[in-house]
Amino acid sequence: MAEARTVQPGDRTLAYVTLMPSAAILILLAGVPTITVFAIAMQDVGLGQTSGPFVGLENYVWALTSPDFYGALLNTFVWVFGSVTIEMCLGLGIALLLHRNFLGRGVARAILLAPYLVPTIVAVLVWRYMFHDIVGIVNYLLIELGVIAKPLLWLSTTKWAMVSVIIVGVWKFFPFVVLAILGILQSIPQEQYEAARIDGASPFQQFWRITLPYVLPVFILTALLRTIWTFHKFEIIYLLTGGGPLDATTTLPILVYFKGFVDFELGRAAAIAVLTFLILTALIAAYFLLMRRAEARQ
Amino acid sequence: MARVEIRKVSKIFAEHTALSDIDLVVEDGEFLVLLGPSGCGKSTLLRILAGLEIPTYGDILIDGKVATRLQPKDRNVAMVFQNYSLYPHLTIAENIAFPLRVRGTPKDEIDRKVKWAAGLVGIEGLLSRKPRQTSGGERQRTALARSLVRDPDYFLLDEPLSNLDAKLRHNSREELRQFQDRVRVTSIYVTHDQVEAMGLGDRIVVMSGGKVRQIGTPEEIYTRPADTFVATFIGSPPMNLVETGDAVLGFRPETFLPRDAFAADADILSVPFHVRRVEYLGGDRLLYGKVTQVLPETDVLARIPSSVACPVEAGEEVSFAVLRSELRYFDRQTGLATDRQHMAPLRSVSHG
Amino acid sequence: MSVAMHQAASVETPRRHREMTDVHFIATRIMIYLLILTAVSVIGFPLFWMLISSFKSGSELYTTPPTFLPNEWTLQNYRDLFVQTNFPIYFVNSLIVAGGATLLSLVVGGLGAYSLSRFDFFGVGSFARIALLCYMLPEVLIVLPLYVYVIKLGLADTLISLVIANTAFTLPLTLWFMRSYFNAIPLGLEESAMVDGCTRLQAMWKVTVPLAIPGIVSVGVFSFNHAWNEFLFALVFTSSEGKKVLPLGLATWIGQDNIYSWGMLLAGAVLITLPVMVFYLFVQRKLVVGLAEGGTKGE
Repeated sequence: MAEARTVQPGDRTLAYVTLMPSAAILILLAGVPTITVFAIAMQDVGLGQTSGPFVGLENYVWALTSPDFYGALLNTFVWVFGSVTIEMCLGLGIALLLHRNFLGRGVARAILLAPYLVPTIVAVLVWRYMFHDIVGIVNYLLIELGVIAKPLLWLSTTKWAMVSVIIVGVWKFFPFVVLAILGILQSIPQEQYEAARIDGASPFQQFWRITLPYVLPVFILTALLRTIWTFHKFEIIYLLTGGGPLDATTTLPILVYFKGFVDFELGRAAAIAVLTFLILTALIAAYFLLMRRAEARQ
Repeated sequence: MARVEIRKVSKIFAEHTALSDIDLVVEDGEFLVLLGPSGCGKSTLLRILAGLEIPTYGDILIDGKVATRLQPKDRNVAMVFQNYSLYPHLTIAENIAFPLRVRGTPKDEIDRKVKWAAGLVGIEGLLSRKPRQTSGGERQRTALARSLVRDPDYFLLDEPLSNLDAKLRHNSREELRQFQDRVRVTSIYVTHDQVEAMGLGDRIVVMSGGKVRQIGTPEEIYTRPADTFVATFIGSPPMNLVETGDAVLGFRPETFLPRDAFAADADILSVPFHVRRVEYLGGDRLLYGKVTQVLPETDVLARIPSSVACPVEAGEEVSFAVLRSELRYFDRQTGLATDRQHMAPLRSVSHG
Repeated sequence: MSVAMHQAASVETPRRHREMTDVHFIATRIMIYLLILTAVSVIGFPLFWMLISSFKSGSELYTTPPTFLPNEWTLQNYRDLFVQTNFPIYFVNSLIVAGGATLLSLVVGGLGAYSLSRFDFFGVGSFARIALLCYMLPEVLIVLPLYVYVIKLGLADTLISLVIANTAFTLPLTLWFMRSYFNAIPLGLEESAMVDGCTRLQAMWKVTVPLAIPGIVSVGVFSFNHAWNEFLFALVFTSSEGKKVLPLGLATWIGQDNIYSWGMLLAGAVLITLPVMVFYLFVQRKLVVGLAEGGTKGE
């Protein structure tokens, strides 16, 4: 990859000098804080304080023995699993549709991708209005169509709150999946399909033997990214339900916020944040391990 | 084995007409070349033969049966694409096996046929590799093997050699032709390279602007071009064309020799040739210059084999000549070849 | 002569073929259109509903059953928004934060990306990959220590704190994408500028940057969008009305359980979305996430 490049005197300095501000910012704003969190997690930070006496692993112990923590953990898994599986299926389907050429494709594409760019606050506002038990359009339509008899309290019953949150999450974020899969679909050379047609392959066989092998790696990578990002989502749940009702939708990030900025126990909040980070890292490591093993088998 | 007929086929798109009224018969076992510059419609015609497109007008007949609207899979046709179109995630063996697996052929038969096809093109040793681990020439042969493995009625090849470097192209040409002689499948080959066409085809179809200009053997096309397009497209350097009063006169550079090279009583047209530049190309010498006096002043080329002594220098004016039997005449308006055996006496350009 | 011509012309006229009379083809087409129509209606409905509802009067928004089109179109909600709330202040604050973070990322990131693209000295390559890792860090993790910084530096409740905090996330993106845009510009152009007498920095400014403008704009839009929608940092770092950005400003009203001013909220929602939509239409065509390279290994 190293091509013959002209190297001028002063290039080396220039290289580092131009990189310095970026490096500085990233170190200060990302690198150091990451380490600091671990430090904070090991302090007993009192109300209104930003640091406190060193208490070792006490905060972690508290977290791992706290029902709040496990409740949030369970909610997080439900939230992530529900959202990501639906997003991936919906995104794949829409991508396959949008890959076809049809009249009005540009407009359809613009509308279908819009939720992703709309600010989260806007998405929340709209859906809260739509989910309103009395004046919301969702209940109205469902009753008119005979699906339900009485209006559902979407956001204020423990039973339906997570469902509502997942619905909004999927609506907002599935376009990312569409974009990723469309990207790979559009890079498959048309000739491969033509050669297959001439060889006698049916449309299903063409999908199975040409489209799928191209799409599968991207599909898996996208699922991984979506899992990571969904795991850490704070804003959408906080604004929709505030973590309620009765902690029904409190995920780990929400718990961190409450512990840190409502209960003002920064140390415990940090411990939960670190644990969240570690759990996710374990998941990612598992993914790479599986990938490695799958490739070794080939 | 099949006889393929193309009857009055036209293909009209919104912006332009790709093919106009093509009438053509490909005999059973023949190696037919579609030759022409890019945009002449040859690839479109090939795709219509494959079933990837439907003509706007006209029909395709295979062994006498109308096949115009048949899907590609229902015609027993095989196609080699310019970019080989190998599936990157399958091995060479799996690539070759693909058409058979798609049809549900039993496994041992697949293995047998794959080995046979690979053997025909000489890639038995590569069967477990992936396409990215093979060279251009090997991929091309894989594409060929994949087409063979189904025993097609006819073969379509879309510029399969254009991605290879010159030397490899030359070797592949030879292998391709040998292979076709062995297998004797009706083949239709598309190229823009006239040397390749001349070297490969039993017959050549010269196309331009969506129309057929001439159909014939390489020799017929070279020595008796049907119009000025064919005359200048075929042959490198192209035929010399001189516009005289009532017709366009044509003669190939290698027929244009010093007057002394001919017998005294030969039936020739003698012309003063003012030589501007001499290029020594190894096997040939090219003389760039212009003819004057007897013919209207025009830049022409003469090609003399280096094995023949040529005492002509740049800047000289020498008397050159062409056998009248080598002269070709074309109509000035249409460019079509006319049949004139004689010529009206040329008005000599007076210089005085 | 004419008889011969007639005979030549009487050869059968060739058959005309129409492409789309295939039953199979038409059936597939119909199904595609049906599916697309369903998808677009369902997915697009919320935004449409938001827009339509913002033009309904306050009382109409509370009728049951809900009306579809406004009984009377009114701009009352928009007027209320500007008159009764601090919406204009929020808007300006958002502009400052998003604009500031974008500017900072583009300048710092642009320089850095140039280095990553053109130079291959020790550590440069790995830096690119580490930078990308930073983008993957969760906000909830970073917000705690950053909050501590903000308090200790006395930057609580300032917009500056938000500008810098947002840069932490927009910078890695900028670096990554600008690097690939710079990579696409052939080195030969700068080298010929240097032969003509420029220093490397001049070559970069005069040759590379102008050519990378489309890329710079794309990345700028992405960064702006990220900062414009950012919520958590704003929630934690700012508290006074005069310092709130749009997402936070609107969110404060939602927190209250009886939302009497849905009209204003919807109008606010429409207005927040407008700049985003404008940018969106602008970059729409380029929006295809390039995950292909990572997904297909070694091809």
